[in-house]
Amino acid sequence: MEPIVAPVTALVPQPVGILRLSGDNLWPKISPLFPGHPCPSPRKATLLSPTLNGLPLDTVLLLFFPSPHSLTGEDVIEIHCHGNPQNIRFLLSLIELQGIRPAKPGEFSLRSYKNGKLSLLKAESLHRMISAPTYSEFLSAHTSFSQPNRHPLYALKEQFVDLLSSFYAFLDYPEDLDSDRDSHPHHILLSQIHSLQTFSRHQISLFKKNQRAFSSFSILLAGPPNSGKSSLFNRILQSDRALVSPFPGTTRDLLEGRLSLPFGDLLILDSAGFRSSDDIIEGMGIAKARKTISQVDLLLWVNSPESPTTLPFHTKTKTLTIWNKADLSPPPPSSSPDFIVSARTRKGLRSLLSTLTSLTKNFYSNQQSTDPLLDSERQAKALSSFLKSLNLAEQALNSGTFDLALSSLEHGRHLLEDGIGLISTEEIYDRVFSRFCLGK
Amino acid sequence: MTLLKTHKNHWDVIVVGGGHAGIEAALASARLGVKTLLLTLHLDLIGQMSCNPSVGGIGKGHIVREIDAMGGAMGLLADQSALQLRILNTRKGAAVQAIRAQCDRHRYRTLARQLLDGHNSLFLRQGEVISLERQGDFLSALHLSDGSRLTFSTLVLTSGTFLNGHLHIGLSSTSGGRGGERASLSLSEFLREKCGLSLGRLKTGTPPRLKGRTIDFSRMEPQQGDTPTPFFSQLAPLPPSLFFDGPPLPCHLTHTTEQTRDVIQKNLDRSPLYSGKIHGIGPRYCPSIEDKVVKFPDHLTHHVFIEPEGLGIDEYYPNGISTSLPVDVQELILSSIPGLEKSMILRPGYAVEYDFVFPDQLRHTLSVKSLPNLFLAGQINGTTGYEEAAGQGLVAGINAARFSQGQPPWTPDRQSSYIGVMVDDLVTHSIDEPYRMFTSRAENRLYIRNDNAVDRLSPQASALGLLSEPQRSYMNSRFDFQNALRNTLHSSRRGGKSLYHLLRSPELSLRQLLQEERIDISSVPSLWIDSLEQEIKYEGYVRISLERWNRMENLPIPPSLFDQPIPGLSNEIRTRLRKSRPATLHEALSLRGMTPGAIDLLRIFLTKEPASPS
Ligand SMILES: Nc1nc2c(ncn2[C@@H]2O[C@H](COP(=O)(O)OP(=O)(O)OP(=O)(O)O)[C@@H](O)[C@H]2O)c(=O)[nH]1
Ligand SMILES: [Mg+2]
Repeated sequence: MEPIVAPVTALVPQPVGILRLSGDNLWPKISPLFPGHPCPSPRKATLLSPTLNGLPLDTVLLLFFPSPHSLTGEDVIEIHCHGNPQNIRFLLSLIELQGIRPAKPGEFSLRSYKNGKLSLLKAESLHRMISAPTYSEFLSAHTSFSQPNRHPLYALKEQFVDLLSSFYAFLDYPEDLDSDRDSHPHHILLSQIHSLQTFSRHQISLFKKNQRAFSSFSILLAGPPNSGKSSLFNRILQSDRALVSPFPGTTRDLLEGRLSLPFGDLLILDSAGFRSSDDIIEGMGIAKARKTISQVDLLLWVNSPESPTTLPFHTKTKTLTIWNKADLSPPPPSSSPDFIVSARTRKGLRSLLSTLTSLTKNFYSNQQSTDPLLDSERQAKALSSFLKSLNLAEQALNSGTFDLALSSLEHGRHLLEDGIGLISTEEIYDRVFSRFCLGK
Repeated sequence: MTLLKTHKNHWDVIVVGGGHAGIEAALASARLGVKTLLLTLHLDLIGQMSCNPSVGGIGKGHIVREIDAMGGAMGLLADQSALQLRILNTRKGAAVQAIRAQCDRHRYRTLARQLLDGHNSLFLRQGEVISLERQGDFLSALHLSDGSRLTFSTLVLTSGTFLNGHLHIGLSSTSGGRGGERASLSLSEFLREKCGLSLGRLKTGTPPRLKGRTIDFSRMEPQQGDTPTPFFSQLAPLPPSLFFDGPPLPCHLTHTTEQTRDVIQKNLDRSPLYSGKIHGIGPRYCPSIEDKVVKFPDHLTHHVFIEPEGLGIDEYYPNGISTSLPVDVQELILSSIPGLEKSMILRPGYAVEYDFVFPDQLRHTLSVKSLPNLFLAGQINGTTGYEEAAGQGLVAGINAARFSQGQPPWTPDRQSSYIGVMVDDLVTHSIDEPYRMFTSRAENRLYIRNDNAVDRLSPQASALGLLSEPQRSYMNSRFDFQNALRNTLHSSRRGGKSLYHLLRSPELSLRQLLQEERIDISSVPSLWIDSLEQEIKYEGYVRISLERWNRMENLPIPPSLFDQPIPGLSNEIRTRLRKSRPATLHEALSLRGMTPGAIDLLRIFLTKEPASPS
């Protein structure tokens, strides 16, 4: 495939940055950057200097994983360079000049999947693993990733292959099995269907429970314009992420920041100040903020002495009020804000932060299970339509039409395959003959 | 004089082999009016049931009905020689029911011979083929061991287990087909060396046959045939009864014991299967008793069905204990089974190993891809069972005859017959163990039922010219009757709904409805009523399942796919794809050697956006 490249570490100052390349016949394509150097031996760290017009640019460690024994199944090269963002950018542009294009998001995984290095289930577990907001969810996803047979859909598939094989055995061997030893087939089949139904329903409801707009504990900063929301946002994240200015209406879009706390991630969102505005873009930003209020776990309503307002509508989301710019003036006696702070002098920030921290901790302490779960909406969808065909099969079996029940299950097999990949017929027949002693 | 002689020894179609495939092939060819010769090693053994004396069962019974609907022999022969007939799967829905007949195997043979004798364009000849002549891509003549040379336009090989057959009883082995008949080694060599075909090796086995007077039936559970008797035949008025007076003959059910298991475990080293003497692959679904004991050590007992071999013949077939252990061990096994303790062996059990041709070297017509006038049918293609063999014989016979006349081929359709499923499975998947029909193999199971074989196939058979005049008119009277009744059901209403509509509900039966409407059907064959009823009841489900099938499997594969590299596909699979250029995912699925992973990749390629660079 066409060679691609992407940095796999963030573009922030740090000791080491890593670039990853994947594609066919990779070394010849980038060797101009390492003039005179032979192809590095596979899977050995090689110390090299990329050079431009004879000028050494950096000192890097290069790792070469020839196809097919690599992450993607193609040739893969990893370049460990010094983690200065400018350096990484420059190396990237040099590599792109060799005709290697930047990878699209997820493209490495897609290639691994297509080349049979990563099953669909594993790819989705991997995705969930990388974006897990807590260590327990990371572990849950990693369990599915490293032991695919512990993935709930895998367990489901095993049970389902059992069920189909029972159907096939009863169907094609009525004389061998319709006797007391194997008891009445309808009975066995129904109980197998029931246990699959229970399992599917359980998994779907677990997934739904975990299904939220933001997977982490999420906080929204909202309030009138210019009250200092962006300033607080920057303080909480301890970086100058948001633009701050004396002009009201500075923040337009929703901004996201993430604090990695020991027990789980805290997601903090900054939003456009609430006011009636003629500016279309600002209006859109306000609408977005309004909608976001219902999706987050906590709303921080920020006021300041300039134009204090109360929350203009009712919300079910837990809300804390903040009086900012306390350095300018204290809150009026009529109001009783939960926190009195100053983003400028940092007064009251410590107490705000410690409250946020303990709320985050509480939130995650209720979800400590590391059991593997469904990884994606797609899997949940496949499972729900599979469940429907189980229900149809159950109905058919109850009204004595074994043949129609089987037909529903065979349809269910295709639906399940949409979630987990092919269930081979050979696998089912193997099960038929290993579970039942059939034939004369 | 010379001219006449040449003419006399030239045949449009020569069928080699007088087993169940050979019979159907020769008859189909003769029915099409083509000058046909059936060549067999032993004229008295035509239609021999060398395994158990039974025809039909689940999947297989469906095939028999289809052969019958095409005007073939097997249903008629089984009906007329039946000792008992039963419908199986009665509680599992009409789509999966089938008939099983217990036959008098001597009578079956006699009737088969009479049926063949009755055709003007069909001739019989006893002889052993020792060599074949090949001219380019065509075979032209064969030589018999008696010195004769016969020329032909097309050749159908149905030599069963006789290709390089080896019989095993204990550790001694002899070459031979079955039951002491001779084996054809030279044919096997010819196919491999001269025709370039790739051959594999399979095995099958039988139990010892027992003398009835030495069996204690009182200790076994009898299994009666159904009354009224169901019959296979659909293109002729049914026989009024079985061929003999008195009740149907029962089978009897007994079982092996722990003692049986011990005997076998102690003597495994004397089994050619487990001592490594037999290399052929046996069917998982027709295991020998030693297989069962080894694979399921915690099953303390296994069923044994005692089947009568004929009326007035004191020979019984203990179905369920096929074995290749030495005779003294066979005796020990028998003495461990309730009711068989004192039984005497008439013929010992044995295993037979034989060559077969990997069937993916054939077309859907069952002709060899590289040799268009050579057709193969039956166990030579790696199948087991009389019914599977007969079904292929029919297809090969029809196509051999048509080929000899320069007519286009006829192939059965997978969506509308079990025979079609079988042929498609064989030529696209090939096999790695003996192939047996299962109803689970048929995706369109709800439509290809036991009751509607005539609807599905007889009109085609009639168009091909396979049906006799009486068969055609019987078929037409069935269709006329059903059309008339269908119209009545559509036009008569009850509570605002047509009777046709009401019948879709599972609770209401057609007979009951007709009785309530005072429509007399006492003179109408019950199959005509049943098939119409099932047609109405299944119509909706058949449509749904077809739609699902089409949605799932008819994902089109753009031809451009074969020209671009598909990452992750092995070279072998890529070559296969490029060679056969399947049009849909389903066709790709059925290619031999397609692994689940490969199908997965294809499915993803076809459903997800093609993430390939421009
Ligand atoms: N004196 C004082 N000024 C502050 C404080 N916090 C923020 N400001 C100033 O108030 C102005 C607005 O601050 P922002 O953080 O941009 O306010 P905002 O709520 O994000 O404003 P919009 O995005 O326009 O809604 C800036 O000039 C800040 O420097 C504070 O605690 N004390
Ligand atoms: Mg702002």
